[in-house]
Amino acid sequence: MPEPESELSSREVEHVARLARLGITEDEVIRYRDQLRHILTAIDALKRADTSTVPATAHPLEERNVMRDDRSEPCLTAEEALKNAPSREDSYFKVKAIQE
Amino acid sequence: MAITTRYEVVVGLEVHAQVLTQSKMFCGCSTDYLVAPPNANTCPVCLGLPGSLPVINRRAVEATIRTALALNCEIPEFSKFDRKNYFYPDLPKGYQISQYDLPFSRHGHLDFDVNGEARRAGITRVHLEEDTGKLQHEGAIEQAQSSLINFNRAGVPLMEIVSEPDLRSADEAREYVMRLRAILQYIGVNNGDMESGQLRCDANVSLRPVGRIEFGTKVEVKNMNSFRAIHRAIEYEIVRQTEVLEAGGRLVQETRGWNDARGLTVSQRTKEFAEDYRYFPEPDLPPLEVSRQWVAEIGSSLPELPAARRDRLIANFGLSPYDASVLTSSKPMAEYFEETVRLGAPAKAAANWILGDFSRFLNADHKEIQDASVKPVHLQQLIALIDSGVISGKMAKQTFEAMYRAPDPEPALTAAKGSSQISGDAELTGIVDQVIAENEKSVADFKAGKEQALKFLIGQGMKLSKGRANPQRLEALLREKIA
Repeated sequence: MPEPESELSSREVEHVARLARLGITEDEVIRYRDQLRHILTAIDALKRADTSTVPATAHPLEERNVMRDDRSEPCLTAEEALKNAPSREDSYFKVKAIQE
Repeated sequence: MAITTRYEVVVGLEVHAQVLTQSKMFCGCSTDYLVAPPNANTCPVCLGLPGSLPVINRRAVEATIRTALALNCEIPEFSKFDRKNYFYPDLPKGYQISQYDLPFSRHGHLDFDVNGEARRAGITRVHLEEDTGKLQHEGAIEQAQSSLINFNRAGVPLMEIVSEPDLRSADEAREYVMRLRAILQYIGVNNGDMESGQLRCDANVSLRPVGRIEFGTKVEVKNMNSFRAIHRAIEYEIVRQTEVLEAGGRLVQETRGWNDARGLTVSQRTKEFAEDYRYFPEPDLPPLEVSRQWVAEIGSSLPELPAARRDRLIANFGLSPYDASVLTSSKPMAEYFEETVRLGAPAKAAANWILGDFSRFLNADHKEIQDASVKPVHLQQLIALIDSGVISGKMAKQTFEAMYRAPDPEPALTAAKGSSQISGDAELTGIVDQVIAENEKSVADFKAGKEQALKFLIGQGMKLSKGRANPQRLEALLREKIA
């Protein structure tokens, strides 16, 4: 099926899926592409609103400058931290070797 | 270097500096990760466990603004944190909390000098983020079956200081980092330790034909953990890229790691795609309004910076620009120098000792001046012994080395004082006779019962002997002769 250039392409869906480490089938690529196209159409409608006089929203809440003093507090023990680790060695989390 | 004359070198640097805080960026875990047992400095926040929420460490924000002010940056009134999304095992949340489009600061500059000539590099921005955990590979990295992760470092506050592509040689890049490191130490936001990774540097290196405006293809060089490594890696890249271009080849945009042992850079990954981190505003952290009053408070506590101290050392002590630059490149070294002078040492002599043998020994031992057993008070005394002619320059060098090598420099110093001391009565009698002959009034005063007068006479004797007379013997002989 030919894809209009302005629309979300299957390639882009595959790219986003790869970034999110999601393995999806060819059928799913099509399904999600079409669903995402609908969402993006809705976004396009929002984008048409005139926001030139409205400051960008960085956060939905109006709170600002929520900070804490620099004091160190008790942490978990290594045993507690590792409790749910799928794999460990000594006091380390263990993963398959990472090579760039 | 004929090889680079057809191309201009363009370097921009990204320096990551851990902020000196007690606790992590977004949680209360200790930042003391170098000594803690693996994964003992962790909590639900820095492990990215579900339901945990970050809270901003005020001191880390203030340190970043402090750094930005020291680098002449603008501090916008509004700032926020963003999520930088990527997967890597050292990043427990699957994203790093960083700053994207509204960092704490931008548009600054850093002044430094190369061989006494002034240079300026633009500072694009200084922003704040969190460090990652540390991966350890089992055995050789190429054959490793598994990697081990320690999350103690995850969440340690980390500043990223980005320069404009304003540096034009490996020398300039090295001097820039040296000056930047000095500033971070002066203002107390970072300990300057490159070897342990608390201060790290990446370089973007590219070449362009002389006269061209557009930049060439850039290569990002990582993993340089000393000034020397920065210099060597950039020099290596200049030669490598020149050779590729001269041979009619094309450079690829890529990340290369500096291998210090082999003295070369190795391709780590080719950047086929533009990096795709899908930044978005961090929903767990409300934004920050940076009031002008807050900025003024932070600015008012800035100490004298290296450039100002350098100028002061030149003006007050008549040091050469080069000596003053090197002395002020490290805060402890500048303080050591000033303390030695305050105790009475001539400035030039103090500078020569600190920049000469002392620095040579320290460099060889990978030690900082504040960790040396020789303190300013010892160096000042040694210089005084040379100036008063008690010991020769050659002997002073030997004495200094002995002082430096010993856990306590006092015995070597005392030995130097004593080694040439005149204790023999034959020689001392000559001095005593001369003192008595030249100071009739004081001799009369002493005879009349003024003990003070004897002190004066002893002083005259010390002066005549250039400080070498044994004071106890001198006093005994004076009493004997006058009585």
